[in-house]
Amino acid sequence: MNWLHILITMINKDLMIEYRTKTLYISVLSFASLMVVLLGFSLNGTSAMPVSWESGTLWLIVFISCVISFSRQDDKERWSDAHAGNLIAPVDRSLVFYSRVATSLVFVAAVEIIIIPLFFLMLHAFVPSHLFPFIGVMLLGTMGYVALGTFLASVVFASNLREILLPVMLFPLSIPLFLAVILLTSGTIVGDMQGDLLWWGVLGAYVVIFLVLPGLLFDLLVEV
Amino acid sequence: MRSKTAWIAVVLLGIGMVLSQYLDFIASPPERLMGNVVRIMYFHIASATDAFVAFFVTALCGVIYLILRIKNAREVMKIWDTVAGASAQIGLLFTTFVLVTGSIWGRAVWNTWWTWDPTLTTTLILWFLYVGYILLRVSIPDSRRAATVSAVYGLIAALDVPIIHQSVTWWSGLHPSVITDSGFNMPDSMVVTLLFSFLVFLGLYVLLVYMGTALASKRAQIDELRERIRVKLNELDERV
Repeated sequence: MNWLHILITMINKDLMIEYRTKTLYISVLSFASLMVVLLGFSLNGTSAMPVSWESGTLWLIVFISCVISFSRQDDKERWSDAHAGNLIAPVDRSLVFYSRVATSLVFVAAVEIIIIPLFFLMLHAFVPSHLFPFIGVMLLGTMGYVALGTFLASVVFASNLREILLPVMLFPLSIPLFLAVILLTSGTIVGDMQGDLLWWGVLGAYVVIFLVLPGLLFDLLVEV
Repeated sequence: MRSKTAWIAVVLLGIGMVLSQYLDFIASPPERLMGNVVRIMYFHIASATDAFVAFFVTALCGVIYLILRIKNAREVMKIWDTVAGASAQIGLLFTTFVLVTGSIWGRAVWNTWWTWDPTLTTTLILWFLYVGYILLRVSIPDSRRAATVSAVYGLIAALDVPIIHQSVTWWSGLHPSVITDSGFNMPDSMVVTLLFSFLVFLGLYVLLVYMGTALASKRAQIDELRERIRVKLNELDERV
């Protein structure tokens, strides 16, 4: 089997487990929906939210909801003692990391497909005037966040405080990504994307760094 | 460093501290617009330098630890992790000091306790990174695993700090620059005071890291002895 087949097999395995139980998906989706509802209450069901607030709150929902899925990622392996099985598999260990990133990406994208329309509908927010750049920002932003979150979930795996430590470590490190996606999303909503090249650069660089670097360091993390 | 040398360093640093206070509060002149509020700067900038130096040292020691670990040099690698841990704790202390003094200065000069300035924001994020790093170290029971994992996190955080600073700078900017490419933007008497503060604070950082490392090493030795005693007692129990 070449590396691509191995990667696809690992992704299939994780997706199949989630498809059979659906507990994590339903939990994250419920949590994200509740955040939209609570935001509606806290903003007094507003229909006049400024665009910069709109993109900020949308990404806040995505960022906070995703953390639950990252922190639960290793749990199924922990419960069934399958962690060692993953480590002794005769494959490059960075593939374990990339399979987790891909699985999380599919998972979070599936949540976003429902949450984003719900957000615009319930909060009467302005719909993006540039749809494809909006999808691009959502996809790249999610990819960068998922890559960093998946990596940090492995970092805190052995910690007694992993549930709380993951967001404490993840949010400060994702500030550049957060700023980039908020400003780019605002641009796609108002249709003014001049001067956004810089933030596309930040977003692109961030995604590349946190897709490549953890892949190189992952082996060290799981070896101990 | 032996105990006697450490005491000499403590005494010298104490004298330096007193002299630094004299320069900060008496010898240096008040600033034309800010008045005496400018004196906060001597503590603030010196602490900020130490905070960033501490962060750099933490990351560097972590990288050295990882390299030695890959090369399987078990005898020497532990000390690098101990220094990294001690440096992070001192770094957190200095970062807190930077934030507090910066906030007091901001209230007097900008009329606000907090503003989303890039340098301020980066320092706050640095504080959170330190907290995450320290919590990570103390919450992993296996010391070897804690060392490796925190070294990896320290490296990732160190690479991310310049990106954080640059992105926040593009987002918003307000902080004054007293040290630019053209040198120090202040009179000579203030420059001398500032440089002396730098020196004294750097000495304080080195001394605290040394003491922190010595303390952590002693603690590790005690843990090791405790484990050996436990094993011996178990053996005795089995014989009885």
